[in-house]
Amino acid sequence: MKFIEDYKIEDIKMWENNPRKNDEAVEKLIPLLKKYGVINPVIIDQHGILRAGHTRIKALKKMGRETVPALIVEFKDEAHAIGYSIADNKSVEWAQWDFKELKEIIGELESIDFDLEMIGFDKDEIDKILIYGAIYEEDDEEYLLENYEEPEKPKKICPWCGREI
Amino acid sequence: MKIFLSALEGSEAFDYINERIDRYLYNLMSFYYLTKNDNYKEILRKSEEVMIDSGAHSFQKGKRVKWYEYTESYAEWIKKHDCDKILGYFEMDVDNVIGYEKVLELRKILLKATNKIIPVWHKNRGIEDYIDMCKNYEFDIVAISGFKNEDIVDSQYQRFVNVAHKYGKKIHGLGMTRIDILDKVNFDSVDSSTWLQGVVYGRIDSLRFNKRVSRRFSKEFAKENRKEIMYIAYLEAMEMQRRYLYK
Repeated sequence: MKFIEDYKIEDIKMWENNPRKNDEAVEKLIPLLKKYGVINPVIIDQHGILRAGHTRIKALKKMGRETVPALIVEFKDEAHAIGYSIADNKSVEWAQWDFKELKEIIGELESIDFDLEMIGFDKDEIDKILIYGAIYEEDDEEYLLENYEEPEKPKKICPWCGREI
Repeated sequence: MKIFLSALEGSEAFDYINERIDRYLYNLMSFYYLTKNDNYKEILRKSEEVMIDSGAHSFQKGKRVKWYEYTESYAEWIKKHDCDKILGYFEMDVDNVIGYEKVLELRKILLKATNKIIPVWHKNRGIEDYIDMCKNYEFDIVAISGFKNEDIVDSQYQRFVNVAHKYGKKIHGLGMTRIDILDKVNFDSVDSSTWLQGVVYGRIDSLRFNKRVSRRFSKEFAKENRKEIMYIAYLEAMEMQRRYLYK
């Protein structure tokens, strides 16, 4: 594994079949990259193909940046590279927020006038966390009142006579 | 998410398992079995946290039931044994047998013993009752059934959880152990006896890469090594507890 601090973005080959849809994420990421810079290097395989960091690269291109910190990783073969790429995206979903803890932390950041738009949550989400210590949909309660679906137990049919048991 | 493992206190392999495990994580015990043996003392001593189920559903099987008497003895047990390790006690949610009105009367008996009584919502109570429970019930844990197609369709679990969280309640999914739901819905806790159920059918369930995989045994092997298999199954279930603790 080799670290290159100023890898030329124009030399990076994007993974064309990337199954992640990240165009919306790109817009959200730009202000964060402007604020914090690129702290987390992207992962590029031995053939120059991007394996982790597609959203970052798209955002940096939009920002007109020419280089990016990169880790060059020698994967055993393409399947391993693809496997890693999917796992890298998927593993982010495994952890869950402890919203009560998060509420405390965001509250502290707010108290020192930290720009809360720079923590990745949108304003509506931050309001919900600060007020309720949770993110929920405004209409959940109304939704349930109007749309609660009473489940039906699947009918058991006698295999011999075909009648309901 | 905390997964409480149930049925250890009534397991035939309890002594075998208990001799081999120094510390348990989370266990759910049934009051019905607490009256039958002293295993609960060890489980309570060695667990991080414990929840107690009324055991009403085990109790009623094929019997004429004296519900008030049973509830009184449940309340007495609570008075004697309540401690910080016990997060809460599930109410006598036998709506389908005696109706909600009587269940509420039984709840009152339990509430005299402690305020840590967990209401268990069922569909017969109506959806307004669920919202009201989340808004106004005084204890901070509420429960819904996790059994498939009992009270809630799979696609609506998250909505139920959201409403509970909105009103600052923790929500427990009773008997909810389906991985596909656990991965999507952020219950605060659930309980599971699947570690034991697998053994009954001659297999040990494990979680590998977020998928439940089973190792099967021949009948003869399972019969000869039953307690060892139960012990391994419990260890695997503890691994699942650890895994989901961070979800």
